[in-house]
Amino acid sequence: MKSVPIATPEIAIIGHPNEGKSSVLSTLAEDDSVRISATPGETTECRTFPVIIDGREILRFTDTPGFQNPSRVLAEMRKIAETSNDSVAEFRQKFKDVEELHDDVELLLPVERGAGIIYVVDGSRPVRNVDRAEMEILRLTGRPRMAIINCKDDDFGQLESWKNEFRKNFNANRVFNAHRATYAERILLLEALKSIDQDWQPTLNKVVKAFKEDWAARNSATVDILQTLLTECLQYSVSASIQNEKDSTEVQQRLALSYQKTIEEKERLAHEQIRALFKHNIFKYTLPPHSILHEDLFSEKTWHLLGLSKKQVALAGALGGALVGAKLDLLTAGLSFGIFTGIGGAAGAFGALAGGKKLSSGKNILGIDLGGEQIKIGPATNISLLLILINRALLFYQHTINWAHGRRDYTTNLPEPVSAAGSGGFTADWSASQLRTCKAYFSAVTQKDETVMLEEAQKLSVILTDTLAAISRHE
Amino acid sequence: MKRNWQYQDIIDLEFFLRQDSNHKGSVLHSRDRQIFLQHFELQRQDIPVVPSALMQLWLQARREEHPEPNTLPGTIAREAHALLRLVLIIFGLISGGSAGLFFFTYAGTTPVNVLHFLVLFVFTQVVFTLIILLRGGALRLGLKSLPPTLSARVMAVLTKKISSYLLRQTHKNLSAEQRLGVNATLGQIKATNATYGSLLLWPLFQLIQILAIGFNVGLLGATFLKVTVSDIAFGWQSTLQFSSQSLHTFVSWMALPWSWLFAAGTAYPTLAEVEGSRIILKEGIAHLQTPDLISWWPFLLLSLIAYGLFFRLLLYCFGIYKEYRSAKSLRFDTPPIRQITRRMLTPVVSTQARPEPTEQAITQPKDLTEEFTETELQERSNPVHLLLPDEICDQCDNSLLAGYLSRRGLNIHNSLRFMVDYESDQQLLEKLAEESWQKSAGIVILMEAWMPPLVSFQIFLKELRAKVGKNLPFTLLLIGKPSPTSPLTPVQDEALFAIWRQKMESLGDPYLELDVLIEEESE
Repeated sequence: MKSVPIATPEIAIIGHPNEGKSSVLSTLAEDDSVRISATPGETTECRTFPVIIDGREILRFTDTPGFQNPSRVLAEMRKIAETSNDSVAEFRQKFKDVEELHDDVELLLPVERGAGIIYVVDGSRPVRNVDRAEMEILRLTGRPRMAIINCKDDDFGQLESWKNEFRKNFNANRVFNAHRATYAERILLLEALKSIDQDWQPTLNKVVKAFKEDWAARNSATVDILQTLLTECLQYSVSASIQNEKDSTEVQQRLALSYQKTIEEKERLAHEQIRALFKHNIFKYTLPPHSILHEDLFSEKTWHLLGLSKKQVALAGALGGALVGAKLDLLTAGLSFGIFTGIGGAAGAFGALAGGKKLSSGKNILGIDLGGEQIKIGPATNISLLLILINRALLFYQHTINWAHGRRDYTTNLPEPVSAAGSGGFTADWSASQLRTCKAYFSAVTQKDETVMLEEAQKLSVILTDTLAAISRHE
Repeated sequence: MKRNWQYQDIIDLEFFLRQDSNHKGSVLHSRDRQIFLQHFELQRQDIPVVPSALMQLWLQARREEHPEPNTLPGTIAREAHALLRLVLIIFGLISGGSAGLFFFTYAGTTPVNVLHFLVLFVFTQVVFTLIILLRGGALRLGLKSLPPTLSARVMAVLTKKISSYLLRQTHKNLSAEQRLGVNATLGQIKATNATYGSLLLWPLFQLIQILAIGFNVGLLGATFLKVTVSDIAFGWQSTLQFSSQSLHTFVSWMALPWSWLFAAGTAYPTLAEVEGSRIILKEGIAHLQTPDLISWWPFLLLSLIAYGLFFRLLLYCFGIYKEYRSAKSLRFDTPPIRQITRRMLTPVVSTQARPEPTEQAITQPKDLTEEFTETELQERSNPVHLLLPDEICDQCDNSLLAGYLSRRGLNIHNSLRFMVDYESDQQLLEKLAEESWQKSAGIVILMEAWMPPLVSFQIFLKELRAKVGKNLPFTLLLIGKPSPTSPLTPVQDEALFAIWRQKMESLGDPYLELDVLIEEESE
């Protein structure tokens, strides 16, 4: 087939209506503005998504409408192919004004321009004649082509029959995984595309490299945002004067509320910054309804699920007790309560946060310094706050980089690494040495020891970067 | 009960049909059967088999059970219609009256030119009436439309271009769901129009006549008032040099409808009076005689009555008659209505066991044939052509399929494979075009609901419709994803079914029915 040479390689995403073309495209192009819906026929015009690196467009993906008359298009193209070398262009020219063939004429536009083809099918349904007609049309175009099997609803029952069909008509095929993080799936798809046309390899290598670097830079920015959040929250304190001891309960509650609100607001802003790094196309971004992130930062459930696990408490006590100077009883204090649960009553919890002072110590009650008629909450004394902030940020990150949730065409939920039974979130899997770094960082921050803080922040940054990379590769 | 169908009944009927489309067949069956039984057990009359009478009974029952009968769209439409009629009468009276008063304010210095009056108020009305009559006559003679003039053709092309451009532009900005909704609504309007078209048209025709009657009465009143309370001189003039004799002859012809009723000189001016009321600008009016100048007014009033009011009254009566005739000729044979009559006439059979698609379940309707009346049995021997998609054609258990169709009172006359490829579908269409459909109960098409309805299938249905005639029922039955043992499974996804329904509605084919092949009886 004669194709019009174009400067930028183009890949058209083609398929039957409602098979997930736009989902595949939004993964490849990392563009969530692609209109996706459960109603077939959402895309009626081709839409191109350029990949621009350093101001130069080096690759473009094109979303196309679904086939509406595959059998007729095939019949017409076969007829045309008998007399013409370029059946796609001839077909488009001949039927450009036929209303009912509008979508079919439109979807072949990028192919006429010489685009390579990604053919998307829903692997959860059986192969039908219309699908065979579509595959045959694509074969007639003579363009390099790859098939992507998108198993909606995790139904893989028809996978083999599809693969058999593909072997006849396609250079390559692969299964699209809607649950894998967008980044990981995109890199895998791009790597797979290399195999369908050797000419594309240099371009695709460049794209993959640029995507990887871009992603690493965004992860690094995420780590910076998170560390700033941690430092600010752990060092934060509020204080107020009191006239007499009668006032103290009321002031305590007021302070506690203020402390809680400030920390929550700081966290919200940090999450917003992380979101902006990854979901720049979505203005109204919402978390999946089942997420633990919908719990308040200081709720009992959050602290139970995202704080230190019992095992870690024991581990931390044994390994880092001397180094951190924290005692086991202090660590356990915030384990199963939100720190502000039953304020005034849960002395242990409150004490733990406010400085670890004992009730018996003369001028401090509940860790509140009454000596200078001042009441003060913070800086934090419970390392759980550090871990909870980290875990919540990582969870938020995980949801943000994964597009499968919240999509109308995918009903499945992304599993969170937190179950009601267990606890610990992402940090639950951290090793003893990693936890030791956390503690060293925690005490350096809370004690405002600048030298140690810099050193430990560096170490923590490595751990966080590795964790983000692991989440990015998550399947 | 014997009342003729009116537009408000049709509106309510369509409203209830739309309501029903969201309910399961079994629920509707027991309800409609109940309506039938309640009435005929009480009345102990002969069972009417006329669909029109059955539908009236059904509509009456549905209206009675509606919680707020006053909010039914038919009632609202009737009230709006009555209000509109009143408004139009008042508007007609006022506009006619004002036109008359305004026209006669010219009187005073020069006599009122009777030719102006005739041209403005009489001839224009006659021309309009003639256009309507000629057009109606031409349509009656079998012309689909009058030969379009060049301007009409330009207008038609422009309108078509603009509307399709607008539709396309609007479509671009709509989501697929909204687009589907818009197309389905347009299709529904088209289907309603195809089924009841003229019945809904004639009330509008009558409204126009009412407006014109009001206008004529207002104009007559104003003219009479002016003549009574002021001194108006009537004369005539024309740049064309026609003689008084010609005008007199013309006027006597015009007065033919009423001249036999009145004494000479009253019905229309005499030649002398015509001569005497001629205005010649350079001579002024001073020499004209008063009796000549006032001789015109009875003629003017009578021409307005005869050519304005009387014609409009005739057209109004014609509108009423046509409405009555179109109501009489309603066919009541569209698939949704056939379903209702079938449900009313078919006994409800309940089984204890969950109806699995097994031999036992499907033989039940057969066992019950003794209980059916003659009419019902007739309904039950309705031969249909069955179109099966290529992929499932070979795996379909034909006896099972026959069982499902017999529950709908249909039996398979001929089973055909389609959707192999484009050419074979075209051949099939040609083959079906040659068949005789006289005794056929229609065409049943089986489709897999989980495949999104494609434009190609819509086109296929349109082409099929063009080949087999517009009143042959098409029944499109949907099935679910094939199980390892059978392709005949229930449709699981309600959303998919809704998409199919909207897509099919957008075709605007009143004789196309969509349903599931196997109804899940979950309740």
